Amino acid sequence: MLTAEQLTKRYGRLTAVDDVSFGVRPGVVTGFLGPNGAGKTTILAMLAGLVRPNSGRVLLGGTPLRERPPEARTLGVAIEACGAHPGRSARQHLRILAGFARLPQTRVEEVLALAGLTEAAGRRVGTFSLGMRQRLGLAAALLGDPEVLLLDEPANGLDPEGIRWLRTLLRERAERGRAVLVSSHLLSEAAHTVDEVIVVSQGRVVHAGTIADLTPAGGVWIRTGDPGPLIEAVARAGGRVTPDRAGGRYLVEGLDAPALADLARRARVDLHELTPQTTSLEDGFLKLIGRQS
Amino acid sequence: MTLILGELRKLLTIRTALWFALASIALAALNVLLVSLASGTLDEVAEKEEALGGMPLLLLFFGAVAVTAEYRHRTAASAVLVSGRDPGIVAAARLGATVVVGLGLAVLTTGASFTLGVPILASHQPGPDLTAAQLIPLAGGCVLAGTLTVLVGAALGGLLRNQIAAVVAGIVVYFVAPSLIGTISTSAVDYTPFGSLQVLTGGVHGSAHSLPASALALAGWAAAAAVLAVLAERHRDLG
Repeated sequence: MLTAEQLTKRYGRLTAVDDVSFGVRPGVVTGFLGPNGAGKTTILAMLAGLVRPNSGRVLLGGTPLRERPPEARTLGVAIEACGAHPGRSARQHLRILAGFARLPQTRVEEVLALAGLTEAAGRRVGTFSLGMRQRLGLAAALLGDPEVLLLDEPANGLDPEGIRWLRTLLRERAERGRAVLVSSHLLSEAAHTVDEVIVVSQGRVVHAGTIADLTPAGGVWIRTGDPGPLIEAVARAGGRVTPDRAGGRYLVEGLDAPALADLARRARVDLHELTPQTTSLEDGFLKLIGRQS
Repeated sequence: MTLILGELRKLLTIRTALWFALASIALAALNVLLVSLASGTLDEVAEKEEALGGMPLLLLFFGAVAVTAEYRHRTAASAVLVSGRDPGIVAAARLGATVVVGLGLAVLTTGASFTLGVPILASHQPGPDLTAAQLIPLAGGCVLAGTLTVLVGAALGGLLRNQIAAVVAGIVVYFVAPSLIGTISTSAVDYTPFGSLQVLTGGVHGSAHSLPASALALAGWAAAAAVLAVLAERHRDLG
């Protein structure tokens, strides 16, 4: 479990992170979302112990980071602040890190295979594509098979196969009881991967909860050639109907799709459309961010 | 020890040390050839010693470049994260590893200078040949000066974290500062890093300071810069 408690970071007069608190639970993939400049990277760096907060603290397994600095077995980090020298090969880079962490060199080959980099392991990192560098960053983060994984935009530069690989990897880690915090600006990808989301805006947490909380169900769109009887039936059942003049449809709120189908059948009305209106993660996110600004 | 070994591996798996070794050896060889063959008559021991002094200042830039590369390529944070050690301790290990590689470069550079220079001076210049009693302290001084100069460069790199800034700072410390200090006190110049280096490498004649005194002075400067760099690392962010 990784916990941020009232983290605040100021750079001169600018408050980049303001009183941020949240937890990253084991067995859960937590998405970390926010617009550019929201403070995501600074928060991730504070969680990793690379940036010191002006106030607040980070707890790893219940112990403050200052008392128990993270290491490869407790915290795996793939964020902007952690790089690989372009002149070294991927294998050399990982071997050096394994040496620092006192991990067996066999682990290097394991994570290279896990990241799909075995064949490219002897190549200099400077010749790698962005996607391969992302895989190398992930391999480095996974070296110690850590309890908690912090990843900053890991899907950037990955091809569709790579994104599927990443998604599977994160899910597997969560299923093994590990905690994963993954920042992303690819909301559709986040919707596929994460169980819970933390949304930050202007250095503050503006939402912490499930994806479903961010994408509440809306009404149901209906289209029919004879709307009168159905509208009456909906009103009697307690629903609200809003016509969409341009589209010839009606938005029904307060009743779900199966209930509407039953009402239409009893009123002997043929339905031409019955579409639940859902809020996309993107819509929910933008609504939340818009409300903050 | 694990940290120093890791930092050593870092230095030895990139080409920076190799390029600096080649450049230092080439410059040392060029310097000794030019001075021994083309700078007129060298008939005094001090003049011959000066010809062998080499160019340890290039090693200052090696230290600066090697350490700032850690920040430029963002590899400093990775070492701290996986090792679970204090950033200051990791920085100290990095300086230690840089000094070890610097010692190797200083030995190579001095070796090249002496291997080429001693026979040429003996065959082409008049006056007494340099004896072992004169060559050994000079070689030791050159190696020590080169190694400590690497540490000064590495410490400046760690303090400033920027390659250009660290190189400029090195130039200021070694060349500009002694000139300014010289306007106040001429004798104090011999205690500056450059002044001490000059004594150690035989680059100055008739200095009032002995080799051990100059070695201590340069070691003091290098140690002070290293301590500052380590303390700064402990109190700064890595992200």
